[in-house]
Amino acid sequence: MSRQRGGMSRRRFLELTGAVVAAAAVGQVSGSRSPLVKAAGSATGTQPKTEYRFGVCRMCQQPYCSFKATIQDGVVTQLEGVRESLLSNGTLCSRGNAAIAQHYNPYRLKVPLRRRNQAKGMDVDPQWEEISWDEALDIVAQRLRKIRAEDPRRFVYNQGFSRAGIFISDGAYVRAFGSPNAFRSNGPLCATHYAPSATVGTFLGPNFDWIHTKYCLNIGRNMGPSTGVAGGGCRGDGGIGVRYFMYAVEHGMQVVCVDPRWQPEAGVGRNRWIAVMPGTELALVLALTHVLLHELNVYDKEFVTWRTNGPYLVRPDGTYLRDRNGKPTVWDLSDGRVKAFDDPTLRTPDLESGHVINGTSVRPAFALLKENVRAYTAEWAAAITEIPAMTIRQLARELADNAQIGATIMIDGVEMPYRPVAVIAGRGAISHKNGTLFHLAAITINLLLGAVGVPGGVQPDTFGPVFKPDEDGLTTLVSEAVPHPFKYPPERVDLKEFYPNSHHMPHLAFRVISDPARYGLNYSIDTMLVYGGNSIQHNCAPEPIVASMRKIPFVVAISYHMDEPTWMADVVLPEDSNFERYIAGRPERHAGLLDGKPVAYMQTNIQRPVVARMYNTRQPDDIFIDIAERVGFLYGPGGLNDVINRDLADGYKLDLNKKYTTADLLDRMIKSNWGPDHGINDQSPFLQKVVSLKERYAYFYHPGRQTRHRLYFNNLLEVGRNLKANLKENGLETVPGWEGKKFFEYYTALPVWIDEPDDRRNYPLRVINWKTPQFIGLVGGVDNPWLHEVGKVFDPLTFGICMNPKTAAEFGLNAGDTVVVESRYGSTSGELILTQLIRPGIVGIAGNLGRTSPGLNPITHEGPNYNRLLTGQEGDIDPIAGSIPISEWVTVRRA
Amino acid sequence: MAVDLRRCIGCDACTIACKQRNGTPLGVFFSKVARREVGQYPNARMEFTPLLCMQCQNPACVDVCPTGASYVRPDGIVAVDPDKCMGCKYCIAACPYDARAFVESIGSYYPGFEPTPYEKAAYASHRAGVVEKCDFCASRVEKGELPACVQTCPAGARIFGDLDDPTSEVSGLIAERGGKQLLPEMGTNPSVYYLPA
Repeated sequence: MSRQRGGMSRRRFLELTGAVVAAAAVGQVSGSRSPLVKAAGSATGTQPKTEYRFGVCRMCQQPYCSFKATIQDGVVTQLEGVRESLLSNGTLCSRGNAAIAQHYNPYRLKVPLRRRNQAKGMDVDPQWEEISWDEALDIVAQRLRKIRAEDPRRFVYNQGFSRAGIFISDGAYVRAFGSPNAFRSNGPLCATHYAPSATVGTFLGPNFDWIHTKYCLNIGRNMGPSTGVAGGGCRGDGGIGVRYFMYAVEHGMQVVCVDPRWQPEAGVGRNRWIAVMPGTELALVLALTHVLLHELNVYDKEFVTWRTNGPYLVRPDGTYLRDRNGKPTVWDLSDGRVKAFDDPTLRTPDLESGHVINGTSVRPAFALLKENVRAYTAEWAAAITEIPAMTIRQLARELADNAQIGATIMIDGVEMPYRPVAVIAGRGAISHKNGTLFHLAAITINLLLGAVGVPGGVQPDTFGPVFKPDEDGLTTLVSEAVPHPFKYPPERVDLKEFYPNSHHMPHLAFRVISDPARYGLNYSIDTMLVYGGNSIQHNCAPEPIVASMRKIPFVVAISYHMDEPTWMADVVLPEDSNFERYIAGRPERHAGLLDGKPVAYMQTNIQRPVVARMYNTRQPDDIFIDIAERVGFLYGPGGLNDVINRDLADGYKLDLNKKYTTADLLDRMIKSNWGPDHGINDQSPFLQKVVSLKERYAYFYHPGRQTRHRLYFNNLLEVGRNLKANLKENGLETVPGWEGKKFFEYYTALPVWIDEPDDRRNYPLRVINWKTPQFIGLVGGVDNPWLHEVGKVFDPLTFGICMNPKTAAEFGLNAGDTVVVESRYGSTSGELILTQLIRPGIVGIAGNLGRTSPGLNPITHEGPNYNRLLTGQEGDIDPIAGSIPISEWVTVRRA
Repeated sequence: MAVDLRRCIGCDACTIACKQRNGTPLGVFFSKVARREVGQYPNARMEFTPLLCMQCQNPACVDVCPTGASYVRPDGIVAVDPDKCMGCKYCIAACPYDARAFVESIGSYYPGFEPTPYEKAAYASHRAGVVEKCDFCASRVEKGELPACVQTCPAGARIFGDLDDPTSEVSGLIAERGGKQLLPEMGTNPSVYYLPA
């Protein structure tokens, strides 16, 4: 039985505020007459000195958590969560609670600035000059007008996670300008999106089902407790905050955390920790698959047969055997005939046997999968992962035992398969050179157990018809699984043409910007717009990025404070703080707790400015619009308004020749999703609609045999082959920078272990990094003095370099020593912390510390900088996702 | 109050909620989370213990206070009257729970700058040279609200209610889970119970 925490029930809270439950009534949409209006407005007007206003937290990259601000004489003096928000259930995390210090920050940028010193560098004084908005915008517009007329490709927009809550996307902006160049600084160390996009139809996930999962094998992932997220935030996906994790554990979920480091998830309930060598997780999941298929002979045959491409016949070249209509085929054991996968006469698809059809040998994809893992025994994986073979077998047995293959469950009158088992994967395991293959292999285990999109199994990031099949009967490829078209010479500085399924690659983009001819580009970048992103700090070895940025003739930064890219800018445009903005998110669809019971819901958070502007700053969307107008790409067909209209419903589209404000745009976006009765001026902090829990499961939308998932990735194989052929046509043997390195080996239909050389003789340790509840990235964290103080005073593993005592002894090091950690690419230093909470052979550095911009609060400069140890160079990155390997080989010595 | 050690994951949301709610100056914490590493690899783990004023029914701090500044309110909350506190710190030495803080000075979290508008507002209720502590967010509780740390806890690890009411959730949980006071041998009889992990 669930228990309502916090001392009083939600209903009791509403009674206390004189409200009634209305917002959460099934099938209704809360609106301008939400009970919260009364709670909020009761003190306004009559008590001019104290007001209460609602807002949306932006202290991490997902603006999900609603807050109520107490404002005294115009100053925000308190924040607290809003219990009625199903996204956060009245809670705020440590970062959310520190948002006041983020707003009242004297290091904020207060006026537009122009650089007077044309020399650039972290150690160079830019000699800032304060200028007016008109002057600043004119300087930017004049530059952009010129290159737009000459070659619009020379404009690049570099964005990042601090964009959270804005309306105009980077893609829309450069499209309207006429440039192909937008790349993001976020994600190169966390490229977790190809596999879900190829298997479950969503950009994020799949994640465990906090309502029904009973056994979860968590490989390298934050499940909520690691970062203490209240509800949204660096949520992984599925809107899972700590409260939902706790619900799952208290309802019987056991978690096995496979990670080089103990994480708080492992300390709850019956959960346990299994230490793994980072970068070897692929070997573990291949061996688990081996044990399931070759030793236990356990898999969900009904699911594999009818909901995966397991029975699809594969030719010797790895492609499907297609019928004359181009459809993939299967062998029907019931009549011994080859049929299209969707033939209505199909009765018994064969999963195991090879056949010769018209002289061509073919085998079902499942048989190839089984054959592929034959050599990946538990003993083989034990030697690589340093997890005992006995433990690997035990994990496989636990997965098999908990899957309850064949069980069903009734949810709101609908019977669905019940598979309360989940294998989930996160950044710690995915951000390696073989990370995409690992992620595909991890998801495959769920598919073999029938635990995808059904209660208890792993879930896509959102609910709805995301399993919609394509012409091959498989979940439609989305996002990064849709290959970017090849073109030579390439047009984009992030080389999507060479990495068709990649995530954001700022590390590569800056290499290209530095030397475009080397990559075949026939133009150079003239102007970069930086907003909400930090490719210097949130990346790999920073010096080459700084050097590349120095080569860009003109940089304009829209910024909250003087971070590293802003320090390199020519013109700085200061943005409003979170409290000073209009914000409205697009609808989130998740499962949440309403009065202690799980429900499915959609919710949009809304914020109007909580307080008046303190300085001469502006809302980012208004700045984008102003620049577009002055440059000449706001109006008319193809202009920014026209591009924005793609995101707006009929009836709310913009007049192509009218100028709008941020509030206008958000109002139309809200109306597009919630109808004409709602908008930015709704007094409620969110719009919310609760629906039947059955809708949370993608199976509901495509039950039975209505869709299939890929466990054989012919799409990846073919992307690699096409890329290789296209390169060859243009005289290239491989992607520039990969000469003599394994690249196409990673474009395989079935994940395989690929041996790679290392220099462990000189660099015998591997470095790991983790987010902490205070420092999860760059969005509110190390520059916040409250978070800095708490991290420094109370978290014993932050602001230093962590090692297991056994390893430290092998290196002759003692606690408190100042040590230098070195990789082939850089070094960092700090005080040595000894802990039993990380495995031997590892160096651990928490958070994103050690900032370098002289314009930041000096507290940001403290601590070791983990990112300096990493590389983003070709030959080392993931050839598919393009991500930076996060566990570089290192050595350590006393300073 | 009951603190569920099974749920606490050491995120310090309570620590900072307390700071922003009470506007505590630099270095002053009314609420915090103690950490202790236990066991040896690979069976090691971190234990988290949230700490705040235990609102003892036999408070050692009150007993040693020479001026009567520390006192027990009728509702059981242990409070400090800053007008009577002379900053002798006897109470800090007497408190077995490290729950009290001496306010050395009240400066900005941004050295070299004027106090921020928030700090000017929040620090008005603080005074240098006196001892301060958690009062269960008495001003919130008086309005029927929860203490800030309870309200904000993402894990739902804090339960606030009436210990004198045996039917309250907090009383039920303490009975059901075998809630324990910290350092009972000190005879302070805390009003905060810890539910075992």
